[in-house]
Amino acid sequence: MIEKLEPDLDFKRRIMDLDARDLSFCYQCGTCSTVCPISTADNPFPRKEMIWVQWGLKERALANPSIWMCHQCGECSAYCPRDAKPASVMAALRDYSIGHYAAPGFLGAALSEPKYLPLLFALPVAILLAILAGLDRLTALPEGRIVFAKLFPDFYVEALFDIAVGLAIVGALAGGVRYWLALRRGAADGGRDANLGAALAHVIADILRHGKFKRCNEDSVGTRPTHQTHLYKTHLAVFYGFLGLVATTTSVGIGIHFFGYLTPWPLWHPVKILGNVSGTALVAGLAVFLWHRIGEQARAQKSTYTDWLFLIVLLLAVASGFACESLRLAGLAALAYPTYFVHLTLVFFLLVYFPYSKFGHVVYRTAAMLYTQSLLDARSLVAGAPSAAK
Amino acid sequence: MAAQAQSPVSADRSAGAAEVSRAILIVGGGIAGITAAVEAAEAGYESIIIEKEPYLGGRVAQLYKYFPKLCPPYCGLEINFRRIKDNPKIRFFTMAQVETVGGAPGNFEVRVLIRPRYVNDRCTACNACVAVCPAERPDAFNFGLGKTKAIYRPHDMAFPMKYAIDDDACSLSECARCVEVCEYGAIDLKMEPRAIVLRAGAIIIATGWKPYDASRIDNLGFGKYADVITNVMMERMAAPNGPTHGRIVRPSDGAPVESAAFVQCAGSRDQNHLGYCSTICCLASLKQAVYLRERNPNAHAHIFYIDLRTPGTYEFFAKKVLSDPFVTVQKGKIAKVALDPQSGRLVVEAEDILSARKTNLKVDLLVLATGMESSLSESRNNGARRPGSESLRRETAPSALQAGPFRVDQDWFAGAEPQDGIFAAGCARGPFDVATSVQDATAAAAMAIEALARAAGS
Repeated sequence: MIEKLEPDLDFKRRIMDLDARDLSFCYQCGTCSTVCPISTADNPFPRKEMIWVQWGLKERALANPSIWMCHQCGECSAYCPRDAKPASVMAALRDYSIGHYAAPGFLGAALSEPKYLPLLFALPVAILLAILAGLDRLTALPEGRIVFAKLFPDFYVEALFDIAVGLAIVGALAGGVRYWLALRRGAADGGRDANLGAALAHVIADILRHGKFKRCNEDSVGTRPTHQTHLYKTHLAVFYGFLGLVATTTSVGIGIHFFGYLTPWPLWHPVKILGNVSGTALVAGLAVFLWHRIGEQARAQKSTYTDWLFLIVLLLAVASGFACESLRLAGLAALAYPTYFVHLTLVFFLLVYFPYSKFGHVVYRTAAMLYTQSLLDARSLVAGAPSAAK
Repeated sequence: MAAQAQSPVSADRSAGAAEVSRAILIVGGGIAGITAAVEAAEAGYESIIIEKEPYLGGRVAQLYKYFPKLCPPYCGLEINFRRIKDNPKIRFFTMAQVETVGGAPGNFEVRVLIRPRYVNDRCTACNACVAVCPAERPDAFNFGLGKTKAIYRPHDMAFPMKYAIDDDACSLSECARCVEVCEYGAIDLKMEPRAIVLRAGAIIIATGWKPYDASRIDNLGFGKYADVITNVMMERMAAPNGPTHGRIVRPSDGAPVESAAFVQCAGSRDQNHLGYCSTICCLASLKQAVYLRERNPNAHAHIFYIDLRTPGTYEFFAKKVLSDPFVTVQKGKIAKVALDPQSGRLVVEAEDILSARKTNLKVDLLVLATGMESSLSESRNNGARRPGSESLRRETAPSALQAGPFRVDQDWFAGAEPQDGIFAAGCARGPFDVATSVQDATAAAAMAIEALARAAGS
């Protein structure tokens, strides 16, 4: 079969600019696919991604579950005989693909370029200032015992964030569906026979166990150090820290709305303890990530703008939350209320832009894992064997 | 007759120091060094070979067969040894290494250190000493496959045919049992290292190559699994005078090999190891696939390549070997090796690039087609990126070369001008096959002769 290829050289250039410049050294030996602890016999990667990008085959490279199956252990780059850094190419493809599938598209572009950053922060600042102006609280700080609800009443905070999260979920679903449809278009069998519910259950269980990160950490072909051996534990801390904070916030919202249990809650309260422990885990994990990223700048793998943006905003959001709590307990109203403002701005930024930032990996990686699992299930259905849990 | 030179400074026959020497000193007695020596001597010049091993012939002596004709290298070596024996203008020193080079083109002064062999010219190779020797050493000629006694014949067809004692393994005069049984008084345990000074008008560096240290390729299991060997070990195993007398077997248990895999570019074309193509390994693996097929008509040979490089007319050889349905090739490099505990066989994994699937294969033997490294290269840390190759010149080359004319490119000697009087030949210059080395050595001999003429005329 003769297939006419349409090379998109601008795509290749942009991937190379996302710190994957060495990809043109690749001579297709397949060492990367073989040393990869995650890639399977049926779907080896990242060797094919290397040549797709070299040839500017944009749709194939992006409508591809492999780029998200990769968990960035760095084994491929460590063993690459050409030092073409396949791990950096996979990271660049993920980076690019978040912007590519973003809906609306301009937000994807805005999150990937530093020049739009002030504008992106201006939006939450303007909304929060408008709320304060509407409540006539712009000129003076609230009096008496520090209660953040005196600045932003719970109702406004809840409403604002419900809307923000709602919009973000719509955006995330739109991006995820676009990616899913692209995956389906690119596939021969499409996994249509599979039970998506069963596949999803399997994927979620795997995510909760961090099974792939664990495998990345453990299955090495040799003795060479890879730069990402910390990933399993660190991501586990960040993941459960974040889930813990989501649970905390949700519990607080339920407490306020349904039980009239007003904030601040005492430190011994189980929900409060959960929040503090989760926040600590998150900060610790992010600090390790930050430390490694700074170290890696000088070594094999550099970080891109989107890497830094996501990491720093998340870290600042959690750190400012802890600062609010400490300043409140210390009774420093003049600092506590402005810090709370900053905290809300950062949390808003994180949530409303999540499908368009690196945070969007939640959507795309889950979709890719679900797609891959559904293919596996469909194949084992055809083969008459029960779903092979891996 | 050109006996092995024994008396120190015997080369210094020239009347005055100012007179241009008509001798060419050749560092290295492998196929390139021998060729240069013979060519120069047959053109009327004196040749002196300095060889660090106890025998001449170098790597070629270790090969079972040449590609593409699959004829034995001993044949050509014997012809050359005969030419050396018959030509009074050729002298050679074994177990000798150059220490320093002084002087100038036309009149180099070369200081050579000769390690003690402990066996003199009276040796008749009767083997009586070996029978009583109590100590053993790893058989270096067979790349550690098997052992020899501390007193040993370098190999079956060694030239000069004299035994040698490895003083790392021998307790010398504390034992001396070999001295007692030697009827010819050929063993002298009191031999000392000695230094000699030789004068030469030109120098040819023919230091050759060494196989890349496969244990540095940490994901291919060499040193971890006994059945992972290198291509040079395969040559020894296939050779009738080798450690298995020509039987190709699993080193782990001696079982016959039903299936073997070859990993091409094992350490070559790899930024973590040797950055260049070693040029001969593809053909060597094709040749070794034939060894296996000849020994066991049911055996399979699987060659895993990145690009099968069989330039020029070597293509015909590749076609011929690959017309055998039991010799298969797969594009995709083996990067993972494990041991199947049930069968005791190796499981090798590679991506089959043409079908974009990962494949597993169980084999009895894994042959790493390791590449050629300059004999003068330093050893490196496992996995470390290669440092700048200037260090070769700085640290391991004789002093004259440190300030000398050579550029060094990826550890190979490159680029010298005729007026420099020092030339490189064969695999000192790069990874070559034997035919190219021989041509290159002939050219080096011509350049050295030209340099002598220049020095005499100036």
